[in-house]
Amino acid sequence: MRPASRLALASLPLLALLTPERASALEAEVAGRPLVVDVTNTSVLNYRFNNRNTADNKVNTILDDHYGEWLDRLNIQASYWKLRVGVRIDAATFFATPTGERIRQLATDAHPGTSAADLTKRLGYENQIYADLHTRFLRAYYPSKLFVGFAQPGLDVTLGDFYAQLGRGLVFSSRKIDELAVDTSVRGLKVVADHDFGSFRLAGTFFVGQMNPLRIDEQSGRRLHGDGSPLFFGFPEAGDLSLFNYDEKTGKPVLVTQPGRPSYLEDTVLGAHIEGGTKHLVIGGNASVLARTSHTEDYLRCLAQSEVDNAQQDCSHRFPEIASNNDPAKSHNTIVTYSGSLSLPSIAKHGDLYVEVAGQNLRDGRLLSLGSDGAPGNKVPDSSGYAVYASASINAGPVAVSLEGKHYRNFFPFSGNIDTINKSFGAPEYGLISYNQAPTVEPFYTELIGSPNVCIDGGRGRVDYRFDRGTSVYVWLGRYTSWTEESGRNELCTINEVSQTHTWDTAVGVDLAPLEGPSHARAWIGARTTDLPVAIEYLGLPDPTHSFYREGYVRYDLVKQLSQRFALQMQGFHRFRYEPQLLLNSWVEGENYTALQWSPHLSLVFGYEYKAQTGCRPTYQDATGEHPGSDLCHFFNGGLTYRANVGDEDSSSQRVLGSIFNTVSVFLGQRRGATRCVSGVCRQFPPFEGAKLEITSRF
Amino acid sequence: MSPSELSSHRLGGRILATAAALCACLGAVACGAEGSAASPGPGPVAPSAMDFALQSTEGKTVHLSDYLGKDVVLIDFWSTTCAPCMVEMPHLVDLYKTHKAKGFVVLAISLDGPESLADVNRVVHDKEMIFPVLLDQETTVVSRFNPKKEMPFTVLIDRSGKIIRKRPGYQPGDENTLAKEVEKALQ
Repeated sequence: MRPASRLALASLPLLALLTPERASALEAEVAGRPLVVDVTNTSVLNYRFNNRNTADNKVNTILDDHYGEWLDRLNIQASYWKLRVGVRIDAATFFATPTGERIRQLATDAHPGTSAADLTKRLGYENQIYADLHTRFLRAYYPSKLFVGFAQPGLDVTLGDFYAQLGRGLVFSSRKIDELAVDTSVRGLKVVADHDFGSFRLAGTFFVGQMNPLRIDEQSGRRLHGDGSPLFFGFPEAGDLSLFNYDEKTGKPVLVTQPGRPSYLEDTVLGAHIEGGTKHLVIGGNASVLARTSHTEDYLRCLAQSEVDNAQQDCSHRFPEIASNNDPAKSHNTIVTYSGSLSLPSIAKHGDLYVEVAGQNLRDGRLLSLGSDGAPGNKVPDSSGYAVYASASINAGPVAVSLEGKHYRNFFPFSGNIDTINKSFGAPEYGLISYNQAPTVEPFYTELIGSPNVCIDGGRGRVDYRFDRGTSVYVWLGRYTSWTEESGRNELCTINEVSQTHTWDTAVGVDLAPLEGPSHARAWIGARTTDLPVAIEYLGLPDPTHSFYREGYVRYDLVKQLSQRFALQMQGFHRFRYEPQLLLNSWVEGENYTALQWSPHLSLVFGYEYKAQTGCRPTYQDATGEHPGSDLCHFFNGGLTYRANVGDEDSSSQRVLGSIFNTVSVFLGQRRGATRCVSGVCRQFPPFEGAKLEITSRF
Repeated sequence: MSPSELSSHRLGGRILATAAALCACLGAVACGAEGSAASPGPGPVAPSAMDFALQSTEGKTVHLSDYLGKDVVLIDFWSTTCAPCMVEMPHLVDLYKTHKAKGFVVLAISLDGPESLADVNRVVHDKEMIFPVLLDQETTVVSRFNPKKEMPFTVLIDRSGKIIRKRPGYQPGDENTLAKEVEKALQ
């Protein structure tokens, strides 16, 4: 029996025992103290139909159709006395995934000829599919998070997985960002201590460990494989890849095997924070050291000394190396970042101020070559950067003003040491993993282009005027000048007009809510415009243009209470966008969701999304002919959410059912593909068409 | 073992040595902390809810154990970027004003990160949030009470320190159900 199966069986009696008496957690008294066990299980079952994104020569747009997955996250936490312990078991099972027969059919559809050249192309196509599937749709059962902790007044120690942030995220940030399916923790040791000396408080945090990103990507079914660090026992490992080569002598395909290699080399981090002050003034210091695992020197030496035919594959297997993709943060094996901060949490109860100044040193550059004597040769040169961030707010009577500003130079996000390029062993969906999060000073939903925050000056001000507690209006205005938006990562942070972009971002909105009842209306309308000081000529446009990006939008959330328990809600946005480097024509996109809410149990939702964009549904061709695309795409969906509301007055069986089916959501239909961003971290979500069932159980 | 591996191991050794030294320092700081804050251990009433300590927007350190065993506590996980949280918040303020004198406390825990932390004080002012507003920037406390990190998410704790309700999300009308539960807990 597999270990995972044994674990699942062993957990069944525990689940059966977990019948909560008070809709909360299992409690027992041990040696006069309460032992509390809290269990949350989230199970997601979904099946994907054709999501209408199939494009020529892109096998991944075919492979994301017609498959199912079951993902389960079992989270068990227990607390006793000053101790706590927790484990999260992640499980992923896939079904109806492409079989060998379907793969051969797909290859035949793409290259239907019978000549030797066609057969070679067909095998090449099959190989593309096998390479992509090599890290996708693989079952996995592993302890994704585990910890033990000890807490007493003034001291909190965690051994295992924990989250951490230093300052405002400039120096280090490892948080759950569920909106982007990111849940990276640190697995190691964290100590937090604080002590009050009268009105003066001194606090410190120290942690050390290895970064622990999720190993299964729910959106793509892609699995991330580590390098075998002992900290991550029980985690999935990379397997060998089998592909077909065409043997010209026999005219038949021959199976060849490439040895497996990881897609993630574990990053080690050390961080510390110390702060001291009173409730009026706090001064803090932060520092982090990111140390990457690197096998570059061994890899280069292996290549130089190897005498086997497939030296690159052999050496990559023995000494796996992650391509930096011209990312300076990935091209250096040691990143030292530090900052000092000053905070006035409450200025006469009418405002606050926070200022943080950070420095970043990229050291131990990646080795580019060996010298003639075999000694280390050229390396990527060291680099330094800095960042200044400030925020303040002031309020007086009905008026509240908030201000944010940033000045970043050559300040990089710490990208994870993850292979996002290799088609056979890489994991491109994990490219957004980074271990710090510099404040963007932008609306949180802003879709960023390039890497604007590496080298930028900018600020945003917002003024709110409140008529009463339920009614207010507001306006914000942001101005940003970046040197790394148009040209991506401008490594040298060269301050010149050629790489410069200027952005204005503004919006005005209103919140209307009667003081009685939950009816409300929130709506805002905004615009964003980015210009280039030096006009650029885009292929297809008749004249050079200064326009880099244009957007106008309206967003709203309207709720009308129909009775004490029923309410009708409409939520959505509509956007006009123009980005000539992406598309020559402007486009519109948006969505509207209408929900009938029945508190506290049910919510029935109907959604409509649209995108009027050139090629929103691509044209493609296969053996059955040409499948025309479309420039106007509609997406319809519906959903139902049930929340149990288990009360003390309910019967035992109602409590059990209410715990098992604490929240149940069903979704059926289509959603458009879109980029979603949170605080400057963006992810492209492919379109979805299918059915999804999610059950959350709480014991 | 290759030179690069040796280099990596040396760095790891330095990190571990530094770790040991810093742990010793932090432990020494904490040793004098007995009695500096309410104990999470068994007092007059043994609380079931796990204790935590977070900084408030006013710069104070707030412990859950400051209220456990004495008050009915409603923990509300929210953020400035969560639309239903903004709709629910005025009702929590009203609930707090109504029952504050009877020993009812709301701890509003903001999950805002670097992207929106600067907006917290503005919202606190706009929504007249007169109860303690705590900052869980690291998502440490939310991962203990609410591993899915749903928002809003309310946890109701009775006077004996036991969690009597965890409720994910907010639907218009939920405030009535919550008010009844709070009133019952206060009896």
